[in-house]
Amino acid sequence: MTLCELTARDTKAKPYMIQGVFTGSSRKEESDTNEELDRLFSFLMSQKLGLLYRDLSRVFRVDVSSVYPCFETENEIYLTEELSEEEIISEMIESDFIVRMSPMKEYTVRVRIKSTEKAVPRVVEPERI
Amino acid sequence: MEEKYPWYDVVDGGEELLQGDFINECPVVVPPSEISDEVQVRVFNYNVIIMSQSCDLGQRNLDLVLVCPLWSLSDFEMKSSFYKSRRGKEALRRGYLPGYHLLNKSDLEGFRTDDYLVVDFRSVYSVPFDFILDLSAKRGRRLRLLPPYREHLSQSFARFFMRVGLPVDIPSFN
Repeated sequence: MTLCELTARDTKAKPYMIQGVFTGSSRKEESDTNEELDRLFSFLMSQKLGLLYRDLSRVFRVDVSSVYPCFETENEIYLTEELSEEEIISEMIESDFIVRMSPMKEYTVRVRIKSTEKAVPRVVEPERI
Repeated sequence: MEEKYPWYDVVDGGEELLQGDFINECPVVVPPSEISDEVQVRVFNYNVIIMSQSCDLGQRNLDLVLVCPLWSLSDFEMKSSFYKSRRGKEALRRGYLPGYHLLNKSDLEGFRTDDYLVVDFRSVYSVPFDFILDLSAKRGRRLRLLPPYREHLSQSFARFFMRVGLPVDIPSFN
């Protein structure tokens, strides 16, 4: 066999878990994909590391309704939902949120008092009255 | 990409002081309760931000300049578990905590802050005008908070100061 005669029969394809092809625009293919994903996640959860994969399906956004199928995480920054105002406020009520910070540097100096004076007000006169 | 509203600028030490200027390691003198011929005074060093209004500073209508300490958010996180949580940081970002104000990170050359900054309105100090003028000139170039974030800081300070703790006599609706 020469290099030129290499055909598909001579190569071995590694089987991939998701057998469906993300190409179409029909609802059927979308549900097929979801089924494949369900199967994938149930497989992962059945393994020893199942706990790590729990609820993982929720963080994926799957869209096969266009010619550019989408399979990515729901949000790159937060994997959880937006915090509500009530949640934050309830936490604020429960927590001591006043922080007493120490100065960056603290030292004492000895000072000799030369004189003490009675303070006088500093009067600032308005300009345009 | 250039920011539409940049947060910070760097100005020369000799430039006039404005609200929102940062002074690093500003000493604050705490006098003893009794004054005698010779006393020991405590001195605290803080990184501070100027809170007095720019127009008052510009017209020299002040003898004393108001400053507030600022801290990195990670300093707060180390002191309080609330600020370690996402809820705490969100509360700070959304302005739900009247005593504190969150400022953005700076990525300006020589004045880079690795973290967000928190201004503490509960610790307001006043320092003599001439003293802080000399100090800022000696320290050289300094960071300056720019509008509209400067006005936002000022408004937050006003909101903190104007709070009135009144009893709520109307019973809650259950």
